[in-house]
Amino acid sequence: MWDTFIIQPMTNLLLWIYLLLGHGPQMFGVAIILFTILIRAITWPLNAQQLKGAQAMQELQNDKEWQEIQKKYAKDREKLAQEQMRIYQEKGISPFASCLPTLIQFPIIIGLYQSIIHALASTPLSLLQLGRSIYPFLSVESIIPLNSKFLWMDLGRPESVLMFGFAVPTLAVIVAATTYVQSKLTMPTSSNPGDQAAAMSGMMSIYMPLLLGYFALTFASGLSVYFVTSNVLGIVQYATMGKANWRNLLPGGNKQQNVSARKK
Amino acid sequence: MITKRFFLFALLALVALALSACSASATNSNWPGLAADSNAAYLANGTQVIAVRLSDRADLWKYPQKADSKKVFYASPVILPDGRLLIGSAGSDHCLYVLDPTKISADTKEPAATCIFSSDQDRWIASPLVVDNTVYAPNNDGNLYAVNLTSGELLWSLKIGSGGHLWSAPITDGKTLFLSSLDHNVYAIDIATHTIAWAADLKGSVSGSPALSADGKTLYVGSFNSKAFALNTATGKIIWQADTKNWVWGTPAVQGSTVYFADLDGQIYAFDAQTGKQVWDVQPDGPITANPLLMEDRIVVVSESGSVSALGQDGKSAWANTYSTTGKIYTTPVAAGDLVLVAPYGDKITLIALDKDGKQVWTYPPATQ
Repeated sequence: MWDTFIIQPMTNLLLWIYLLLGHGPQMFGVAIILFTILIRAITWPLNAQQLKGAQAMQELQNDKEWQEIQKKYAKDREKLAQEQMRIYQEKGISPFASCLPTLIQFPIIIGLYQSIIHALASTPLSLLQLGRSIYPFLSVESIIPLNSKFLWMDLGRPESVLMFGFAVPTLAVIVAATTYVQSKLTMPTSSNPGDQAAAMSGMMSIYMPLLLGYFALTFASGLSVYFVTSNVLGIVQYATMGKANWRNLLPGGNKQQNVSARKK
Repeated sequence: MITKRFFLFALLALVALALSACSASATNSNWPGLAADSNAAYLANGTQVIAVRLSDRADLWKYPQKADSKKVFYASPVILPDGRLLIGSAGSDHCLYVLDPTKISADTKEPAATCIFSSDQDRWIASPLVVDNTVYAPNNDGNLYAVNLTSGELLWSLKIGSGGHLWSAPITDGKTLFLSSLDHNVYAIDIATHTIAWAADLKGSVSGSPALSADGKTLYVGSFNSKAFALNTATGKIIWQADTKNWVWGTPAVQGSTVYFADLDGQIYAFDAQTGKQVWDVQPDGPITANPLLMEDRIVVVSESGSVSALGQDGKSAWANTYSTTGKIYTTPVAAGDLVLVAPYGDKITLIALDKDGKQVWTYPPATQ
């Protein structure tokens, strides 16, 4: 089921792009980048919705009525939940809307990782299986073998660069850095010290770069190419929508904003 | 807040687990390699090379005794004249090992193992070829390495074509090495000058080693272009080519004036070795990746369906049976004395010994283990 509806279509889409590019050296890496752009384009409305949802949730934290019910029903969680739902409905906010794009990312990450490994076919058995899973309209004889080299990387293996006798995982650093920048740019600013959304985003901006950096360190570098491209596109998307909080990148930037918000 | 945090971490842990599971399976993600001498069978079964005594299927040794994720073995071991084994690792250690079964450690129960040569770049999928004291080893990095067997000294290396994907052992006529590549070419390499004499583009990947005619003038090889080829060994020019119904994966077998090819459609073809005229074709069972095994007047073939069949030289079935209930058979069968050894993949049984009439003699491991 997973293979038929996720891995096979993803693998064929990747190979189709690779074929369109002339299946030469470097082209599988370019195919992963174009594939990421395609995925980003498809999930663009969802990402925009996430941003709007996150912003609405953040604004809600500063809403007087919201703050009042937090105090009023602090000891009655059931009543608090009912009141929160009422306000969500009144203001047309879906509290889970901001989670959807994040949730969609995970099957894509797993599917893409498996598709890259599947397409690069590192063993005779995996090559045999690849040959059978390619759709008839793709010229399988001309595609195989895939050229797994991209820039300095072998896309089927974890990346590292030898510097002064040490294997330095440069791509893992780039993945962690771009993930950090992206999550910082979208981090909500809030004057409310008990703001859950801001606290959650703060937590995510620490854990996600570490987790994706770990993935980049451990798994095929083709996945890291996806992470970096996706992060850069995310940053561009937030910037073009005017939602990026560039001050967050500065040390104490978030605190400065909070102070200025309080003064107002 | 605590629920959200828990949900987030659970989700991230799930993704990490799913990705880890994908990469963990890579250690045993290919069919085994198999070789045998008159005493033992040697099975390169992913994480271990296992030696099994033919007379009573007893475990002689395993290397390594405990699985090591850096060491992965798929290629058929090469048995050296002195009884030692040469095998390349498809793991991250990139080592070509010499295993000495005469020196079993009392402590670890492993044969003495020496990494005689290590490729900086990539893994060994193919078996090497040993001529005199020189090892000719094709690596997945696209280089052919010539290494002194005794000292492990690199004598020379040669980048083959655009590089990458050398998955089959070279063969030689004494002066020239013939090497297949997944880059669609068969290469002839002059041993004296270690340069490429010619390359023949077969318009599809070539996963199996070529086979040489008895007079050394013709090379037989199949490709993913669903064709069987006969090439002139001096020039690389195509003498004849014939259609097959699907990819030809393994090495053809030459016997007298006939050459036998097998394809992924499960067809066995007998072609006139001189003209390429098809003599007969039969479809014993499922897809075939293994080489046909010639045993006196019979051709033994194994299929992905788990069956073993013996055909007469006229293509008529001598015997056929399915021995592996859950496994698939991709590995080329090996003749050892009066036995035919078959190595299923994905089965609890990793080795089956048959007699010449297809009767099962034993299985390894025994059913009680």
